Amino acid sequence: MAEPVDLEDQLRRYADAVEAHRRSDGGGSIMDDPVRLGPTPPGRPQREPFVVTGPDERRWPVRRLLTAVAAVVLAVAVVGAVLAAVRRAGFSIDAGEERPTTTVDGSGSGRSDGVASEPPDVSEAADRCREAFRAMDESLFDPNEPDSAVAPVAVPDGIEVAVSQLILGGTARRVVFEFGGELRSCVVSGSGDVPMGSMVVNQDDGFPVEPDTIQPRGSGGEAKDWVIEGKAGSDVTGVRARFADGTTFEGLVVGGWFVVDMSWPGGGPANLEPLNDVVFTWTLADGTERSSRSEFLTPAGLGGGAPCAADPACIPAKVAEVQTEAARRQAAGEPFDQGPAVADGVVTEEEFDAAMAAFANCSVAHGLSGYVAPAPLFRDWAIFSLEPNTDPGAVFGYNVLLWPGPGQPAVTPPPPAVTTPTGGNPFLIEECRTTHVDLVSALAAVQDEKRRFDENVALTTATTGG
Amino acid sequence: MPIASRTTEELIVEARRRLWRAYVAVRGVDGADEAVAEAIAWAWEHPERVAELANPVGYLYRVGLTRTTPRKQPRLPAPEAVELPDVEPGLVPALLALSEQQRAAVWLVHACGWSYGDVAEALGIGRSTVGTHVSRALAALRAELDPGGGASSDDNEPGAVQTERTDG
Repeated sequence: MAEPVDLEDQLRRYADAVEAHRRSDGGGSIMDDPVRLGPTPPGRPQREPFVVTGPDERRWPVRRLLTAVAAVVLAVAVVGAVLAAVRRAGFSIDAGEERPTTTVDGSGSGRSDGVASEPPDVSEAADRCREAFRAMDESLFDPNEPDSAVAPVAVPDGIEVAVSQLILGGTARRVVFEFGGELRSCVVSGSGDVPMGSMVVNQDDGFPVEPDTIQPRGSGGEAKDWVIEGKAGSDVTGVRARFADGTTFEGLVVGGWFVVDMSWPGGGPANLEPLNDVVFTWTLADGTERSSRSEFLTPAGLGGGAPCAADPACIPAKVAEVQTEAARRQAAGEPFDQGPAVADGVVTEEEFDAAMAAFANCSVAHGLSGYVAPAPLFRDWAIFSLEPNTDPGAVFGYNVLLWPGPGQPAVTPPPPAVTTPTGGNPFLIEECRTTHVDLVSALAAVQDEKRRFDENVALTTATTGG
Repeated sequence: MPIASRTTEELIVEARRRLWRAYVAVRGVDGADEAVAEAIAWAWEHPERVAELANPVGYLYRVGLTRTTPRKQPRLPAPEAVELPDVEPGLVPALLALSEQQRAAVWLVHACGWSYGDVAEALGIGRSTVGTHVSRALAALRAELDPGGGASSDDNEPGAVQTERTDG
């Protein structure tokens, strides 16, 4: 007879080993052949139950019942709203004609280019969405923590959106609709039969996602489809995204969340890198506007350079470079515990950009590359998040800096940068709490970028419209 | 905005170290990173609250779960892949076959060494419920790994396993 299994010991040793390997190889090789759950046993739900993170379990049966009732109401509302919208627009739902959409963009996803599109199967889409929302509702929404409820957003008075079909390059439909007084969204594939990814319940392809998420929407073909979504702050009432080719997309902002769906029907300019140099213009509740920019950075920092992923020796070289600089500054008695100096009073645009550039350069010097996406996440603060690209072998991690936004009171020293390495990133970029770069050159680089970008926009707007 | 005190910073750094291991069972090796990142990001956004928490790791554990979305199925490496040839090969699939609550409870208690109270707070359930989850999870694991009778009858009784780890 086999010896009894010491389960507790095996669990602990297994956890020890997984953690140790994660540190040593970044979690990569150990997942080459992951253990997968076998065929679903009879009687077991096909999908693993979602974690209940909030209320006591005993409340969930009631919640599920309410959800089921709400789903039925939703189905009726969805169908009714679509029929009403079609009637208002004077289109026949079964004629195969182009149908108006309630998209919010200026030139892309809500295009009216005269190309007939297949009427989406709303009932099927809604069906998929219901399933996703049930899961989302159970997994994400914590009524005890309203701030953590990333899923629902309140529908303000005056918005009658029940269903909004956004055609994403013909390959996907984003469905935004009211549900229980909340506005929700999900995406289904163009055929309606396969949700894209795991839809709303999967952060890879879901709404909502964490602030400043910028993700390409896999579409195949020539079309370029993207969605930018995240939390915009409670004082933001509108957003538009303008790209270097002059194309502008209007976003939807509700309850502090925003989503901008974008599609270049023809694929856009060949050299267009839509996630680069996008300017967000945020309309605030007081009617003023504030812009922020997303930039693609390489490990060489502003101005380009070969990504470290292409050169295995690059990252250690960059790290050594920073360490050498750090040692030099320490020897010289130069402080490291201060961010870019800010004048008394309020933070200026230039100081803001200098902080961003300094932080970005420090981060990219450690091998990170990705996007710096300032956004009015907080009323008085901007957040810079620097993420790596997803190239295999690239260092994976996040580096986040909180910084007072332009026009906000300067606080010296600034809040600490936050480094949250993930995916086995061996670096703890504590140094990036401070800055190692020459602020003068960083500022000059930012100004050069601005000039280049403005000139580019000026040139392209006339030809592409906006 | 107040700046995080050094004490709070140290606390968050310590929490980050413990959270990854805690998330592995419910989010998998891949998803654990994301959950840790979200939890720590929240902590830095709310340093005052973190400083006041009696059980910051448990609270942040919940935050990370709430702010991330579960994958359809967490991915865990095979024991051989992490150089544990003497660990039961069926342990991981048996673990994955548990309900998520059971898997989280048994993992946090026995793989992470958390107390029942800490697990209860982290999962938002009662201590007795944690005991029930752990008991049933262990029974299910034993039944899966030793279907010939390795599990004692006591293990099948809800709440039968009430001992907490002390070495962890």
